[in-house]
Amino acid sequence: MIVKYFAYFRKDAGCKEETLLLAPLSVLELLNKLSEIHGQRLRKRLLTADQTEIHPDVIFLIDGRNIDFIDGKDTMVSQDAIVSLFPRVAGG
Amino acid sequence: MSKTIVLKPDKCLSCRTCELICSFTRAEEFNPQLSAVSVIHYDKAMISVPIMCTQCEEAPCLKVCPVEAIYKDENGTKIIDYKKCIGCKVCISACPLGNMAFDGNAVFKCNLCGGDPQCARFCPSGAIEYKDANPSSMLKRKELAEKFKDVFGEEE
Amino acid sequence: MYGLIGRLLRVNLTTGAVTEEAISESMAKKYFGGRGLGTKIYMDEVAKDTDVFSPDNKLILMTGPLTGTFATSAGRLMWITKAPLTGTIGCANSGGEFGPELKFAGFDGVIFEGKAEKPVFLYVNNGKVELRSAEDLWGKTVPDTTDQLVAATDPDAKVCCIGPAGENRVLFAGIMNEKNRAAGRGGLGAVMGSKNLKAVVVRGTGGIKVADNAGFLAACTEARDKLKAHPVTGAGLGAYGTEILVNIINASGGLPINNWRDGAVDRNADDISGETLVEKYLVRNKGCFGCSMACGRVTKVKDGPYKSAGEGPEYEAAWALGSSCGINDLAAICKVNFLCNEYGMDPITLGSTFACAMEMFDKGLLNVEEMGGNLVFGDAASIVEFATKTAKREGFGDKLADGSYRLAESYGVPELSMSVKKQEMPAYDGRSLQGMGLEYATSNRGGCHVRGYLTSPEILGLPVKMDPLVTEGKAAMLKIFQDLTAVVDSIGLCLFTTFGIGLPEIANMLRTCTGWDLTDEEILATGDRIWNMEKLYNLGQGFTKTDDTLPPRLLHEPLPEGPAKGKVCELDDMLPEYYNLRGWDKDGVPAKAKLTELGL
Repeated sequence: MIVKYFAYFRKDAGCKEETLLLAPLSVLELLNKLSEIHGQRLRKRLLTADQTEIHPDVIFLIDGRNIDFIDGKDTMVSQDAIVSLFPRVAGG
Repeated sequence: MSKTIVLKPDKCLSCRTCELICSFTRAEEFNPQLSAVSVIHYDKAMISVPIMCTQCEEAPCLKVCPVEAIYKDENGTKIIDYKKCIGCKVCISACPLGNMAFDGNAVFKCNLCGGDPQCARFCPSGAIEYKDANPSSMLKRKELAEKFKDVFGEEE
Repeated sequence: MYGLIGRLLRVNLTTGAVTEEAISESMAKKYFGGRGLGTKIYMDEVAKDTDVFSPDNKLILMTGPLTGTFATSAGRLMWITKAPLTGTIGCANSGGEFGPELKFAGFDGVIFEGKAEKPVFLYVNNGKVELRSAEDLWGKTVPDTTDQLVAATDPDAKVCCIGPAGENRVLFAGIMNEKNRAAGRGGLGAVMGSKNLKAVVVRGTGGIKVADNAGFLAACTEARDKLKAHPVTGAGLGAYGTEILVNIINASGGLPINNWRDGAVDRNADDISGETLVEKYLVRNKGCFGCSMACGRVTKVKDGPYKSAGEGPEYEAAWALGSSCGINDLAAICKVNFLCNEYGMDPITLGSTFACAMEMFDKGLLNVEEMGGNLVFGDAASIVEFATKTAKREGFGDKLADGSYRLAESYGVPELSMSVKKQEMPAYDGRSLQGMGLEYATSNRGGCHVRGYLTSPEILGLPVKMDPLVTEGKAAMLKIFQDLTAVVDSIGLCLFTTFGIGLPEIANMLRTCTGWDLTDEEILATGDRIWNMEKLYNLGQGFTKTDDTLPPRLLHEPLPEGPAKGKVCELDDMLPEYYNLRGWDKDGVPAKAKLTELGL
């Protein structure tokens, strides 16, 4: 799968996008995995303090679809998915 | 240790919120002419600078006043005592930085809102801050120190 | 009166007479100011069949009760007249500092009538108001005009003016203030040009008082603290500007490319994104009067063929000159955006008109000889060249200057103009964002995103999360957005505050400022009143239900890829419900009962 980072997530992840070889996993599991790879700063952005929920300021798209309209944090992310992570900062 | 106004003009948004809240706090009106702080904007240089009284330790306004209407309060702020002030306006000429003004009725300058300057409270970007000026509190030093922490320190 | 000063200027450009008049409190309480009051005055005073460039047409400048106060981002003004581009009611909103300065000078607005024999400008210095010759300014760009006028009047004066585009009656000429803030859409600058009015200059040293000092301060403080805490208004907009939308709209499959012909996924989107602008060309961000969000871009392209400096580009401009033209050269986009500011021209319509011409060229309807140059998808240099030609109506630029609809129609292909009521739709594909499709079809000034910004719930999840691909619930949400926006546009606030605060906070600021005893519901109903008033104007101009539609591409050409693959805009699922919720009949005409309810 490909994970794309936008706005200040790019700084926290240290990259614009990365390709990961992972078996299908849930959104929550993926966010935990990314936090493991990139560290505390990204973890604080992506997850709530107790790490059981996605941080409310995160917009999570799988192939352009917002997980809010699929299965939320339980949505399964397939091996060839394109994941886009945005902080909720946009407007215009 | 007394606090001081610290300016970071590179953060100034040119929004003039400081002028609005200052004039309202002083005179219950939104009017830049009644504000003790003014934002000076430079078009071509693409920068703006907020300016207000710097509370000189050796204050010319205080020294020159013929009726000793300007005094230093417990915070070190230079305050005009309007019971004594005769409105001669000599302090306007004396201030080397242009921070004494006349509003049509009386002279005025920044009085730090009695110790809780509203411009600093509401400045959206941190271009105006009010903080301790002793060595251990200067945040600019901390910005540099944090870079070392990020590179050499343990992961938190 | 509190908030509003309660005084208007009336300037007869034919006779040179300048008079003052009062605003009645009851009028102010019913229409607030800005868009509401300005439209009301316009409709009362201008005969229905008045030609847009006739001396009998009027041009109204109007601030709101909150303009110039400590309310959140309260620096806004409105220009109102019939829009040359569309023939609908036209209102264009701008920030900067001019609005507050006009109120400090002692006036809420100005009504311009007639036509000056030779170019003039109006100079308002507190109570002293006069018309002066602008003959030596005619032909000058917006920045040059502004600098000269400041030098000739007062170093702290604020200037609204038109550039060559307005003088040449480009149908999408705008009115600029502080050089880079724009009342951009609909061509209101052309009306100003048709009156030989080059500029309005104001210097004010007075103040604004509110009804309830402690209450107002508390209401504004609460609102400001909320904006500060919110991710969009507190950090995001200031850091990245509106162009931050490029990547998220693209990822959502909503960024139309190549005149909307080739779908809505742009593989080069990141090249023109807010992130890239910050990386490459941003000097700093900047705020309008009293604004804590400060989304303005102070931008510099330091070298290369498009070396230039100025402010912007905003999201819709970057898309119109970028993805919609198949262009991903951000430096060229910046350059053209700066040219639009200098000439006083709307970059959204300009870019979309270019895109239309580019598709016509691809189809063999236009050729290089006829155009006097290349306008092809992906050619960055061409948009720079044609921007100037359009502003000056030179060569093929003369045709471009009338916008995409008239261009396409004159070649028998009106369906290639991606517009509604002749105004080009901005940067959200109505097939991927169903609610935005409904907004474009129903907006009172034609293809407009801002008057009912459903992108907010559909993509940003604010104030609630809505699925962009469904039609359910969109009509109801759109009515709320359109009504609330009409309120915001009439009181002098910036629309972007609504990302972080809502009706309760806005209502509190309005009540404590003006002293008006109005409930939240009554305030929102005022927005409904203003919306219906505008609709009545459009109906009177001959617009019908058939005009509340979308280009065939959006209704019949499914998107080829992306999350909305296979979708068209299902307007027919939403429009009847929208009319019904608005209290209109099946033809979109407000029912008598509705008008009575609103006091119209």
